[in-house]
Amino acid sequence: MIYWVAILTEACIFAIMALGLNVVWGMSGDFDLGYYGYVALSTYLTIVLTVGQPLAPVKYILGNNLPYVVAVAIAVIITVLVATVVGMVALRGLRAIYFALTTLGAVSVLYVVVQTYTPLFNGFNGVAGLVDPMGNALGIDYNQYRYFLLGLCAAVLLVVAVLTSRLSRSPFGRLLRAVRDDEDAVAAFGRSVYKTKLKAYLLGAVLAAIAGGLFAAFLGAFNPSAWAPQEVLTLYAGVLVGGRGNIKGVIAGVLVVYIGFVELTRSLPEIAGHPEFAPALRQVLIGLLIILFLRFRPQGLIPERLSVDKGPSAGAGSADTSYRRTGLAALAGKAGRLRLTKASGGVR
Amino acid sequence: MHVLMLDIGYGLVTAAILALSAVAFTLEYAVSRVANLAHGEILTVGAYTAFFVQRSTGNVLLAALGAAAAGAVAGYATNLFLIERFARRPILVTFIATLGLSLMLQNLLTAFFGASSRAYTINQGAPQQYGPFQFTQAELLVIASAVTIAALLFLLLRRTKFGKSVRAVAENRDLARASGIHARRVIAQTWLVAGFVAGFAGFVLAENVGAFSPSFGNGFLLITITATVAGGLGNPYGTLLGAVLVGLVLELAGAYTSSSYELAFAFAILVILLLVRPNGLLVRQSRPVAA
Repeated sequence: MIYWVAILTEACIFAIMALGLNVVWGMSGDFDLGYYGYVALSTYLTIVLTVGQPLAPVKYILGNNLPYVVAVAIAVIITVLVATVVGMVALRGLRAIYFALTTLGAVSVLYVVVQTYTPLFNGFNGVAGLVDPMGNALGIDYNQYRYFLLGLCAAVLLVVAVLTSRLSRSPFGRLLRAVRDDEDAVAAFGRSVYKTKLKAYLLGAVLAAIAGGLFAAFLGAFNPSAWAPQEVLTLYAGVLVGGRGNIKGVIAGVLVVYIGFVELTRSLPEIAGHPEFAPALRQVLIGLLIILFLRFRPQGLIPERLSVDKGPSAGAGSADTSYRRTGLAALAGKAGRLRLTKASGGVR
Repeated sequence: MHVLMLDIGYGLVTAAILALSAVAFTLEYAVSRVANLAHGEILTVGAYTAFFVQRSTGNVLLAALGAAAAGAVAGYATNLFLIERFARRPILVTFIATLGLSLMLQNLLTAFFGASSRAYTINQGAPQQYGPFQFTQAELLVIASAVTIAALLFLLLRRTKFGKSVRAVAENRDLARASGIHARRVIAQTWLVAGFVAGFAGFVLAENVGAFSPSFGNGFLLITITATVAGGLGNPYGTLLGAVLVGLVLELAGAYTSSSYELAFAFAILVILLLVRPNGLLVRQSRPVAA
């Protein structure tokens, strides 16, 4: 039972990450290969902010013994600051593969630095020692804490899901889709493509950082072997399988990919002397899943539903805002029509 | 002064290996318009083949040829089973698909051969003085083979009918087809050539580093991409220049800080290039980058 609680907790955390990725990739259309780096950074920061000073030979920065919630808040702020720097460089004029390559480079450098520069997060051995944060204050034992954490993660997931689906339907959500589908048209309407994309990018980083904070409570320890740069592909697989741009689809996709694969690889036979066999095969399947879905069902299992221009009433409003609103509605409508004419659909 | 010259010498060796990998990457891009993120795995396949061929035959030349042949097969298959299937799709979709392929290949190798790194050494020969530089015999062969392959590629692209078709397809696939060029075949053959060079690069890199693992080619990918972008994606001659520059900068920067941070330097160069000269150092008028 505790086993399933752990699986579900981790699935909830992955779903929060995927919803953040869905803002960046699904709505805004930026293929960010560095996304998992933000999760990792926030996980590290949460741990080093909540534990005490390191004992030699272990080395890491901070070690402030802060309350968990405060630590997560600070971790989110620092992570978003890092994302601001990366986003300001990568989103200014760099698109599609150039953007992806820049973020890939950023996460690779972060990975190398964390691994090599031990005073930061204790290098390859990583940081540890975060045991059931808030558990003592609540006065619950080990088993009860597992259920508490699952409840917490599920609650955060619910809030994030509601907020991102509201965002998705909001004018900003439509603007994001318009930017994704036709940047030039949005620029022609006088909106700053760069600012719009940067906002979405930072929102994605906030969600990544929150997921990282929960991840820290769930894992209690973190080291570089837990976040190879390719880890982000599992998230992409989840978003892609479920349906890019569709909140319900993304959550369903992550649950299917994550729980499906965990269970599938668990039932694989262990081969003596090859401990890497089963996890490696899991990654092979994720790669295959990505390729097959891109090829045969790029819109995912539950495709994105686009709001279409419903005519003049969509633009109704006070005199000075009506122009802008009809402009956006027209953009959203244009995007919708474009989609219908493109056979490939979904992923662009 | 002497130490600086030594570092420049090492830089030239790095540049030679980089040139092989980058020129293959840029050829793939030129005909298929896709940045192949599974390119590193072609090098890895080459390294594994070289290792096993050498273990069973004991012959270095056979190992090198085996690596190149395996790379050629890997490149050809990548195009046939992946790139061509995504031919009319948006660039980013194909790009993500190659990332999926990279993940698959890396982990297939891990599943079969284990994740740990294997030692691979060949007889390096004693270091000798050549002008201001010092090279071992093996290092000299690396540089010589890179120069030879670059020259052969130049002749292939400039002096043969095949090369003319490659350039035509790189310029515009549809127009090339309209002029009677069998574009799909030319693209397939280009991938064969690129894979051949990349597989050989895998052998050279493994022999030079002295070890390899399933993630070995992938670790070289970011540096390869940096060299390619420096020269202009899809421009083989610029790429050669980019490889020399990036190789030298990395080796010198690594020598004065720590070689662990080479990747960070590569990334810094890449970002600066992308922001300042997105179409390569050789292009005078940079157009805005559109995918």
